[in-house]
Amino acid sequence: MAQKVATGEVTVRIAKYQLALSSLLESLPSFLVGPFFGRADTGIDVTSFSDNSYLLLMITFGVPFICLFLFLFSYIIRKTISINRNYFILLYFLITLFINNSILWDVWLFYFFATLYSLQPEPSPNLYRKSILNQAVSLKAEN
Amino acid sequence: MTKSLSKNNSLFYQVGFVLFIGSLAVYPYLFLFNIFFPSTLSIGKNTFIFIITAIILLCFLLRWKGILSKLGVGTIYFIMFLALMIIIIRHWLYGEGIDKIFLYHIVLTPLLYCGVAYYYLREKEKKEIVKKVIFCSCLIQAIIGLLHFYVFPYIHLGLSPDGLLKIVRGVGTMREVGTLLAANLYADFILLGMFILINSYKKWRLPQLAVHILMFILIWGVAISASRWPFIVAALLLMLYFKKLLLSKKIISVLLIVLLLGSF
Repeated sequence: MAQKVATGEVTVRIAKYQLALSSLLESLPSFLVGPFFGRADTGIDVTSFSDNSYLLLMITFGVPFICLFLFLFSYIIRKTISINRNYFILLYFLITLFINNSILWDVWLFYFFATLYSLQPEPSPNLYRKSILNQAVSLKAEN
Repeated sequence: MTKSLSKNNSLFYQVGFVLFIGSLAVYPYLFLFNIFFPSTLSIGKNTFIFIITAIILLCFLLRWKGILSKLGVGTIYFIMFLALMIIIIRHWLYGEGIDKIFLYHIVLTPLLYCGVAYYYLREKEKKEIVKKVIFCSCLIQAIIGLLHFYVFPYIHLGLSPDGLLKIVRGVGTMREVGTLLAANLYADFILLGMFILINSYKKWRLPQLAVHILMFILIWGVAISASRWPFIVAALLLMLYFKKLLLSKKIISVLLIVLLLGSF
């Protein structure tokens, strides 16, 4: 792999991705709960792996947990913000996670969520939905 | 009883919000604190960063029931349970010690920040305060970056083995990192200020020229980091900002002349 990078056959970022994927797929336990940290043969170390937050999460917890985690986290996001109004900033967030180990940038994550929720319109989508439901219920009761 | 309870809850909410704002204001400069006053915990973490994380955790703990109910108690408990299972399985499979447990914070911190921000940013006034704090932080970061890049580039901020401020002369300019010590992080951080500015400049009733200048400072700050992805997003945001202006023939003509002159 190092030779391929040195000869320019693959870029460093692609080489890292290949290394992480091969490490994840080498055995069933690696796939399910992630490979052993800091292996001398693969060089995969969760504390220094960079360039992809999703792969970093998979190395740390395994593929099934991360798929479920991302699904549940996206459920929370969908529940708490209006996707259509924040499409651009959310797309930016997802791509930034894909090309960096930005899941480790605590200051950026803290600022990102503060930015995201401060940009939400009034009232919040949940309250809006509730008020529409309440209106519908009261109309039905009147009829 | 109910009155005193709601008063306490309200007090906790206010205290939590003040801590939240305080954390937002000081967080970007804590990396520098560690250079001037080196202090690292036994777990290898910067003490100042650890303290600020603890303060954000306190914001969460002050209103934990409310935050969990807003995010969905079942969902959060399910994620926590699964993470704990993975830790136990990894301990059983690989014999990992307790020292590795801090590596698992990467699934907790997004939930923590998401929950705290969602809970404390429900009122319009509070959202406006936070927007201003974030925007000022991003602007200050961009100005610090520009000053460093053009005025004193020979001072390189970095975590040298002795943890002290490293001054290197004659090396020349490098990718700008601001006070955040990472070029990509610095660029992505400033970008959040651009998102806020584009969303709020009309509400803030800033003069058009002031918005142009602020936008220019932010995008210049992103450019000196030499990070490709944040720069592409910044350019897209700039296009979004100039969308109306771009439609005018005058602006298109000026842009074409600038591009033409630039090509020589």
